[in-house]
Amino acid sequence: MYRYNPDDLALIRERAAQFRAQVARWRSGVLSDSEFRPLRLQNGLYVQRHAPMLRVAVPYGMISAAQLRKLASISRRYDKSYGHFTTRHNLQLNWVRIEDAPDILDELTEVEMHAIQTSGNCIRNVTTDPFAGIAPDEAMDPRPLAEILRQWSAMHPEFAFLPRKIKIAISGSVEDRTLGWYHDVGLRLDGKDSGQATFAVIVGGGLGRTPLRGQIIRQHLPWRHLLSYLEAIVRVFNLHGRRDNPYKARLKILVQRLGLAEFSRQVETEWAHLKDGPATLTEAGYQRIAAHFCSPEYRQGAASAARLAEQKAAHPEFARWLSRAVHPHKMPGYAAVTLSLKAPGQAPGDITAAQMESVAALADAFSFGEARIAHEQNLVLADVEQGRLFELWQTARKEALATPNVGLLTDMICCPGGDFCDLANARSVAVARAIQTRFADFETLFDLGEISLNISGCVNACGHHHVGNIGILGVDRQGEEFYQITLGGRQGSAARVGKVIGPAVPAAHVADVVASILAVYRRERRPEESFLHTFERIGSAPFKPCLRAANATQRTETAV
Amino acid sequence: MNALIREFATDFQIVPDDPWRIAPEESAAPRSLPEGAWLYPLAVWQKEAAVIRARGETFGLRLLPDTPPIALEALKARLADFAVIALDFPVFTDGRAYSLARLLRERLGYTGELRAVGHVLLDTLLFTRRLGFDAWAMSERQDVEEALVHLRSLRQSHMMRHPYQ
Repeated sequence: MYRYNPDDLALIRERAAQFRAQVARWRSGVLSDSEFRPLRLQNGLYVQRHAPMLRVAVPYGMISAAQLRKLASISRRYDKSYGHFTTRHNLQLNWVRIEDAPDILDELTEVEMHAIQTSGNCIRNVTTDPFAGIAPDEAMDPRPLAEILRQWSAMHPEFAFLPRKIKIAISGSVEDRTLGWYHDVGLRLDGKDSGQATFAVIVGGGLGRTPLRGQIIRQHLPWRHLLSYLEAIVRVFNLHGRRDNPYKARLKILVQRLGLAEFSRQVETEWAHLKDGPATLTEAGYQRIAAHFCSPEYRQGAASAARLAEQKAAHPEFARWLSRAVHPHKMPGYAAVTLSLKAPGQAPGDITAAQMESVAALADAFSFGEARIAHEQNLVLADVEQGRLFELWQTARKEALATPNVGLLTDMICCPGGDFCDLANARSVAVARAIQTRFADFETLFDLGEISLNISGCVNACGHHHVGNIGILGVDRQGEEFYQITLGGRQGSAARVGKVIGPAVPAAHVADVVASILAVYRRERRPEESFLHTFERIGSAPFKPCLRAANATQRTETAV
Repeated sequence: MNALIREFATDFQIVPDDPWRIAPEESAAPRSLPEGAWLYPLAVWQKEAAVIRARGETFGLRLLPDTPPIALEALKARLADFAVIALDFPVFTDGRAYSLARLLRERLGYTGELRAVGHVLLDTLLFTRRLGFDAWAMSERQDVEEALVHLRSLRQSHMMRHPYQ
């Protein structure tokens, strides 16, 4: 992975020192609350329901064992010995004190980490595929360009105070695993032009209160022009995005208002000036970065098919885990492994300090000292010898990191919700727990097969409910927590948002409604047919009665 | 106007006797203003350029963040006439002037003084400096000596080239 040079390090150290001074000026009254707020946000510090929250960046999801150990130590010293992985390669510490934040930022610099631009109206942490560099369907490792995007966007002087945030995702594979259609800007490798990689540029996507699928503004953009083209897009946004209403300020709203054709015309006009200018990438510059991402020293003959078959036969639980948590690798004999952070009773994405240290130890022992954060709020060890999977599983299960539910119902995406977040209407984690409890049986989970269930505590959609096969959105009904259910959403290359199937249901009934929806699926499905395919075939009508039962119960309870 | 910091060839200094004043928005104003160094609103300049020139003063411009880039491009041939162009920050988080600054410096080749006015905090000095600003009318309550230290200390690392460049 990328290692900082002395300049990189000086930059984040100065930024940490600057933040320490800002906190001091705020405490002494020189900076008002309203002046301090955007400054602290750009350093990842929120003031939340119970305590401030610090959001630490894990750029494009790459994390080293040393970084994991440092995060564990920080969470022990300054927080409650755990953290929460979000859907955008960040780790949130939920219980920090503002006065400790400068010390935490200093400690982070020791392992080349920071919280710069993890919030605020600026270019946020760039995200990519957790299987970058190892996926068999990948044509180009997106990480060098992701690192270039990180360097370019970090403290970009022109784009420090945009109308609203800009989220960028980059993907180099056939299947999209970055939710590129639903980012402000999605970059997807779309070919090679005279041996040079080219990208499709998607703009104006986003979830939140106005979910919009992005649109392709340009195809076959040569990689050398990525930054100048992005500068053109973000400049048009900076100058013309709305600043009077934060709910109407995202790039997607500007693209919608102007129409893609007019937005594109403005971007192209701007780009005509920027193209081939100083932001143009060079082969030498790219190679300097790419050298940090060369393949590790893979061992030949790491496969051991016969032994693996024996182990599977002897240990059905291992076989079950293997079928869910292990993913193909471009290198024969190797595999990528997802460490599920969705054990029964665990808030999705939460990780204890002890688990962080365990993952660090596993990364050191099995995966060249590195791990990845997946946007589904799990961790990935990307380079594991197949012959050592059994050994890995035996260790990981002791730390509750080997729940065999990856891609199954209880592998939910869920925001921290009303237990922590100031924005939330609803306690999404409690709903996740109710569903985990209801579907604790692995026979049932495996029978239900691949399905995604995403929960957001409010319309800001941090839990990506729109793109879950089953989406659950917390809403407020006169002070009561209700949940709106959508079906048919999906991520991937064919990503789209689901459909609301009817009126919201009370919190206490959500697990019942989910059970009822899944019962309809089991009744209606054809052999080997996934939930999504069944939904596609039969539509939402057969699922609507699932809500009626819950609402009827609610009416009865209210009447009593 | 509040304390002004200006970048000179080798250092940043406080300018104790800055003559520039912000002219009122009324378009008829130039005729009634006393002699002096005025920063005119763009609309006033567009209407009264002849009057302003006839006064024989050194003159400047003050641009609000909603100034359309196309209006700046229309000024291109006349930019050298302005001794100072002030970009106004109604609030420091309004980043539009950041783009306008780059347009003025990079695309339109403006080489005169580029001044930040309005809500100008210590915290945005490094960004504005990198965008080609070379003068800052600091907001009240900003420690001007600290601003100098800040500008001097930031000079090195934030001007660095990234490894990809």
